[in-house]
Amino acid sequence: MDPFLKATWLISAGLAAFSIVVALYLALRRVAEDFFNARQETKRQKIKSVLFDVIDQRVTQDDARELLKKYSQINLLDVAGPLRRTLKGNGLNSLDTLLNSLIDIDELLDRMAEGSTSVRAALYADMTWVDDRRVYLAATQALHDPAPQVVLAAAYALAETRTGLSIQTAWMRMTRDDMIGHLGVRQLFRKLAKTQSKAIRGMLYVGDRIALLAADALANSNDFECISDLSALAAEHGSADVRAACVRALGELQHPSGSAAINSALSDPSWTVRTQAAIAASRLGLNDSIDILAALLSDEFWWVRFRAAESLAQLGPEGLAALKNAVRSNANSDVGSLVLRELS
Amino acid sequence: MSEYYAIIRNLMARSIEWLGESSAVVLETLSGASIFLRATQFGDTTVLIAVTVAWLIFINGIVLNALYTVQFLLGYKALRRRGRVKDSLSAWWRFHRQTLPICLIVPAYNEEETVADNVRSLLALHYPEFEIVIVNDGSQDGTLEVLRKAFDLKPAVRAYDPVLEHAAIRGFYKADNYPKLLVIDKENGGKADALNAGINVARSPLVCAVDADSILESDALLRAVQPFVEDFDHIIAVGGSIRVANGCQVRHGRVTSIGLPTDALSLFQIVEYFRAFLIARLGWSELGAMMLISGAFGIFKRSILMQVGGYSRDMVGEDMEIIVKMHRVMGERDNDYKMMFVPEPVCWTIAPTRLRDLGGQRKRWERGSLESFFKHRDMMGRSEYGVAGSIGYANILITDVIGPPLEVLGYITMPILYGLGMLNLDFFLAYLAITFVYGVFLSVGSLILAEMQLRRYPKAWHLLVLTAAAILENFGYRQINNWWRVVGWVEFVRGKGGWGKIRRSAFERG
Repeated sequence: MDPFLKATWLISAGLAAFSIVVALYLALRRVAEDFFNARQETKRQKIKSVLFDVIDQRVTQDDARELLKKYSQINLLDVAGPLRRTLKGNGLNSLDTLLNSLIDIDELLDRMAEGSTSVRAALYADMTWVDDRRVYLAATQALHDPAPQVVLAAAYALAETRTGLSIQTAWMRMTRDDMIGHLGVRQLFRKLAKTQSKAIRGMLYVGDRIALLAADALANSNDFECISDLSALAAEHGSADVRAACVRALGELQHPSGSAAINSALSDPSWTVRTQAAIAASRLGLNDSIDILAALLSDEFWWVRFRAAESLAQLGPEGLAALKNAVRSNANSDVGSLVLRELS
Repeated sequence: MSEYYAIIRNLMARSIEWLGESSAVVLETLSGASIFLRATQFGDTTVLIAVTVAWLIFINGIVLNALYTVQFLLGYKALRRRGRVKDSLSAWWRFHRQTLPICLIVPAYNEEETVADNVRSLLALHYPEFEIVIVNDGSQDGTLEVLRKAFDLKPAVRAYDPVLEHAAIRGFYKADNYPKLLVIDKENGGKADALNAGINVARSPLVCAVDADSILESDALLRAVQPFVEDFDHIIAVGGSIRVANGCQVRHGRVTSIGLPTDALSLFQIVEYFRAFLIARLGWSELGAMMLISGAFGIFKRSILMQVGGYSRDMVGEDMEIIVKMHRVMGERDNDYKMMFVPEPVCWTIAPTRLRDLGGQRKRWERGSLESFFKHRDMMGRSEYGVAGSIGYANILITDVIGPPLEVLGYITMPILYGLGMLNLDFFLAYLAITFVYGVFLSVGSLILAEMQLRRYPKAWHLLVLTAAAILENFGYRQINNWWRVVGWVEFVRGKGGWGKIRRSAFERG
């Protein structure tokens, strides 16, 4: 037979036969795994039952330790991790005390260092029960991990601890190119902003992407001292996205000292900034901006018209009257009339 | 002609001499010399045509298999990197605070039998913030009435920016008890038209196109949105897996028990969907050359859909065309973007169980592919469209445009040539190997990938039955499929449009 044609035959038939053998092997493996998983599930149910008894203080810690010591750490952590998320108060404290006395930290550290990406991320995400300094050091090291999900899991866990995660560390580790667009990073900065808003203010002046992250975080901070920074940037920053983020933050903070900046932003050349300013105006209840908002009902951009109409409708009787007037007198106020009907 | 043939033979001989001994075997084979037994009894012209056709078919088979193998390897790599799938609860804890609001757009045309159950299943999705927009596309049955009664809908007003063109909207309906639900009643304009109306009305940054006769897994949105969470700046579209629900039990719009159908046609489609999603979509998504996100389930950035002008209303394959159009617009603007396929989020659909219905569906899919291919053919090979313009477009050319006619031509001509004694047994066997046997490897291989990484079916015997189906589908089913695609080609050339009617069985109630 011609070698080329023979090779074609052999490769096709060989691969087909190989794939069938592998499929049959996987089916057999599945039978074995189903059996194994059923046993694991029984074990997990037993562990869960003991843990519930500990949480409800139906058994002592010593008795629970005795009952659980025959089970593997993997099983124990698999059950305890999800359970912890649903608990707080004394129940959580009892469970954490038990885990600290049962889990071999060296083994845990090994898995944190050598596990697959998803295993590492899961272990760091669930590590807040550990009362051992070595685990926190490992989490700090994990902030250098190449996998973003491991870095985020470790950062979230560190942020939960007493010593916490400093904004400078988060800034250095989270703003690398493959992480800055992660919405989890945005969430982390929002969390950190509640306690470290002063440090976040400094980030407003770095680069556009970091400034966006900082403005978003400050919006959730209740730090009214940042209003002057946000107001200045809302007026002067070269990027429309950053100006819009600052205006949004001023609206979320709902402090009267931000009203001047919001009023000015209603006339910003960028439609995204005007849209955010319209939303912010109603959040602050800025009745002195009613005239500008009414003028925005004729804006060339639909979203500006829509948000201006919504804001007017939310600014009490005065705003509503202005919206009705504008709709009556302005034939172009299509959105205004629709918003009026939608809200009614 | 005999002179022409002599020249070719001469050239072949010189090439063999020039390339040396090692290439001689291949070139001699390619010259046709070794594939013909009694070539002399036929005229030179006949032989020349036979040589050309036989080798064209053979090379097409090899190229197609090479392409599928590359997809298979890329899919394998992607699945390996993703690791094991987390359970729903873990996914919720990890992502629920980071997600973005989504608007599900569900075009419905004559769906009175299933629409209420499907809306209930959508309302029960596990996702922090979403809105469901059902677009009644001028149904001629009682779709709207069923919805009005089931959810106590009342006429409502909704302000929206009519950026995208669509048929006139007759009215909006909302339900006091279901604040997430909005129903648009509009004139009939087709699926693309209905989707455009939904996109206009949506107010969230992400929109999800869902078929009204499909069922989403409760955590499908949460899983599908992960690429947006991880890289919101660059991801513009994400597609999820479609699974065949035939044989599964469905209760209150949810798949409660996963099973296998008893008919061969549905079993073959299960394997086919694995191949399409776990090999093709996942593989090309790895390279950034994914040219299709299924119309049954895809999530898009609303702003990008607006920028590309929404779905093209005059096309049958609107789901493929929107993706090609997104590649085009992003490429022309030199934007850095990604479209991803995520295998875990699942959308269940009922596959046709009658040959005629399946044929109608496949002919329509082929027409859709050809429409998109020819409409944007100027993208092919142009550097500004990057991988999509080169690899993505070449893939459509080979698998959808050239592939089916050549495969069908092979089914007819190769046995005839062999029967006439023009083809030797070695060549004929090699042809059978690349056309039938290699397909077994690809079909069973996709099952193996699914089993190793995703565990799509709960029982070991499911895997055994599907393995049998994966082997058998290469001997008859795939060939019929290619025949339908050739008919689709003919219909495309004749300018046939429209969706036609496909009768699907209802979900099996549990």
